[in-house]
Amino acid sequence: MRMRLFIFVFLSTILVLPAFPREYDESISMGAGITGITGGEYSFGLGMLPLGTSFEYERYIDMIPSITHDAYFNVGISFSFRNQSFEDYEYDTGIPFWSLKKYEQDEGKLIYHGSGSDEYFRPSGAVDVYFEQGFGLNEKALEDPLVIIRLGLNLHFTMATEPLSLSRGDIDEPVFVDGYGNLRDQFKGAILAFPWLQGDRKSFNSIMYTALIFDFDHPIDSNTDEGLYGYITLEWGPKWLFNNLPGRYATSDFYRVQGYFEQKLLLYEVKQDNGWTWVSLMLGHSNSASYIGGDIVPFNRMPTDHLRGYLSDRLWLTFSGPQFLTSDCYTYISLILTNSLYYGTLVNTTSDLSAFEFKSDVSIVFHLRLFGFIRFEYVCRYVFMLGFSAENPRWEQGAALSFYISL
Amino acid sequence: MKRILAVLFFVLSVVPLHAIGFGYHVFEVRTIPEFSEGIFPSSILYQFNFPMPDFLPGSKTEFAFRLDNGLVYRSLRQNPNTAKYEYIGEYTVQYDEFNLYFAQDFHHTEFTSDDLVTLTASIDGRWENAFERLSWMNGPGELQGVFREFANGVNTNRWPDAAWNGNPELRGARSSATIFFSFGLEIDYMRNVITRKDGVYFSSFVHYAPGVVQFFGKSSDFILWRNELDFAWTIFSVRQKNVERDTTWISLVLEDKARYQFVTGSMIPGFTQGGEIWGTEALNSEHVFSNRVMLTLYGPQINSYDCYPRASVFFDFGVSFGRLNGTDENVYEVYGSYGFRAEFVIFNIANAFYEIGYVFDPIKDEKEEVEMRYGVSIGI
Repeated sequence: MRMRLFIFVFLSTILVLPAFPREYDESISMGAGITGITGGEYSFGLGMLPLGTSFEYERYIDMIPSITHDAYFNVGISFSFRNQSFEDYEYDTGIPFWSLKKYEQDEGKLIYHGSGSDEYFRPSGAVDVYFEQGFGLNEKALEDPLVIIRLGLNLHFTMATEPLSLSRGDIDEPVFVDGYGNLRDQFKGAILAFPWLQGDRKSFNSIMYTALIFDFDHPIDSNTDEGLYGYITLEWGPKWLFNNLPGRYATSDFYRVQGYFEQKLLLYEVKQDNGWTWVSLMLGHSNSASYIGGDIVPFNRMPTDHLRGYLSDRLWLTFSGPQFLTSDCYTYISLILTNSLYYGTLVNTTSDLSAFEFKSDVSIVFHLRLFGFIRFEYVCRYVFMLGFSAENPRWEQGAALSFYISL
Repeated sequence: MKRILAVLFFVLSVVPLHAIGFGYHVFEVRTIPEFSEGIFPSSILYQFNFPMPDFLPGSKTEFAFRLDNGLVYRSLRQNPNTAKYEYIGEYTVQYDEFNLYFAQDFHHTEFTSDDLVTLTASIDGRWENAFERLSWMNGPGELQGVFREFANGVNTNRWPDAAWNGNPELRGARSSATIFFSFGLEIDYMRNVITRKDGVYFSSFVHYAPGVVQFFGKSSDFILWRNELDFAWTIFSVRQKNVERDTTWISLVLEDKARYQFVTGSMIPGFTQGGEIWGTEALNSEHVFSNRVMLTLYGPQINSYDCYPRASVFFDFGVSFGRLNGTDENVYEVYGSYGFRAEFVIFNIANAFYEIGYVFDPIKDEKEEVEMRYGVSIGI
């Protein structure tokens, strides 16, 4: 009840704020978009049907009249209901299972108790609100600003419940409780490694963020840009930002710095009479880096293998086929090489263990887009990994159908 | 799907494509109380429009793809073995519903922004997966679910040999798919400018799910006929002056919404349930009638047409009669509730609300109930 009251006050405050900028009424244009639907789960509709949705709502507001660009107000809402696997980390210390000695592994305090299911059901929902103000003029794309400053707030709710297989009777033992409804030992106290599984296993957390976006792209046609683009993002989810509600475990206390920089070059293009593309070939390259600091990292910001640092380098070549019927009916094939390095100490742990892990993958993406909003994608990937939790080099493949619209 | 796209391509190749835009609508966003205290949405119904020229000049033609997706709670009110009335409890349904939807409007009037008459047809598919409530097995008090219970620590099927005649979609693994076809008529003479509503709206839809097209496991074979008749009257309104937009300081609106549905067939799944009654659900019988009378006081529209407070009192009444679904038993059951809801609508993105209601006549011998809710709900 108290949690609801806090969320109530909090949300009312942030959502009422945009009601009071100057000259509000005359300068609004708005739209809403559905920006993606999460992929499937085998237990539901053979893995083909969507399990969640995300959508956005946006408004332009003329906040600073002397600047050409309107401020932009965006609300993104999403929900998803899917299974989640337990990870092999000691729940009370956050130490990864691989780093334990054999006799320690035998007594290891893993969250998964070895019977029942190694998965749980995890409904989640998120609201992301941000304001954006652009400055400067991109000479090559006259409508667009050169630099954009974004201020945002991300609210996330997740809960952990018994897996659907228990409800179907496929497994006999519950995951979080025993057959009499009593909590299993590992869920009784603080769970350092997985803070969202503590207490009643319902967890609300909020993160504020700011981003500086540089856009030196110029459009070649309706679907392709060429040039430079990059951003720096700073995220902060301190305890006092409603992440430490009275009577509950703290859900978040961390910061993240993230940077991204990309370059794109058009190598070859043949156009149709009406300006659409017959074929084109594009070369792209990007680098990204991020680092997470702090003591409590929430579910929605957990890094790969719990490592704080991340660096990556990506090179891609995209071959696009002809646009047909309308400008947003087309197909492309991309060849992508990604090299990633995960490094540093671990998050959500008492140990000062540090490690690094190298991952390299080559992917081929086949993409078909019909009228902008139906997207079919097939991905085939070879993954090579080196590092502490190294799996064997392996082939992966997957297909997804998604619906998407933005106006 | 391939054939549909082929037809679509053909249609598009013979008509000029310029000046035809895409569109989309978000129709409904819902929440359930056990997910994020009812704040974050748990299901949404929306539509993508394919580019489509108007067949009749001046009247809208729509060809669209609708998707309804998410998680909802439903009550099991029929014994799985006998299909007779018995309140068993609530369960969760995860679902996706797709509609390929065609609509043609006729006759534009000056009174409303929509056309007067609309004929619709659609091909529909619905996938459902039912499981226990999210709070099931949360503690020693939650051992009993609708389908399973933990008796002496053992996961036990509550209905081992059940026929599930009342709810055929809950047979087996409780995962079901239904293919159906819908045809509809809408007459829209309702002027709706948010704080002022006047006029009449009528709709009538037939949803037909023949047993022979249920390719993904047979859990449906029914015909459902749904009708809705709405009246609205703005008793008074005070306009805001010197504002370009047509906004109001205060207004009082009286609305009445009547629904009637008829359903028949050998397998009638739970999603065909009719009636909209605050605090309870209709009993799944052949005929369901429900009515809501509501008086709403709208406060000033602040800065924008979709930012305003409002307060409503409502009175709901429903009756289920005819055969109980999946049985030969005839029922006649009346139920009703009334209540009050105050809310502040923030740009149609969020509602801060307080709601209290009383189910004064529950279904059969279920208990009378006063229920109070408050919070924020987010959606578009």
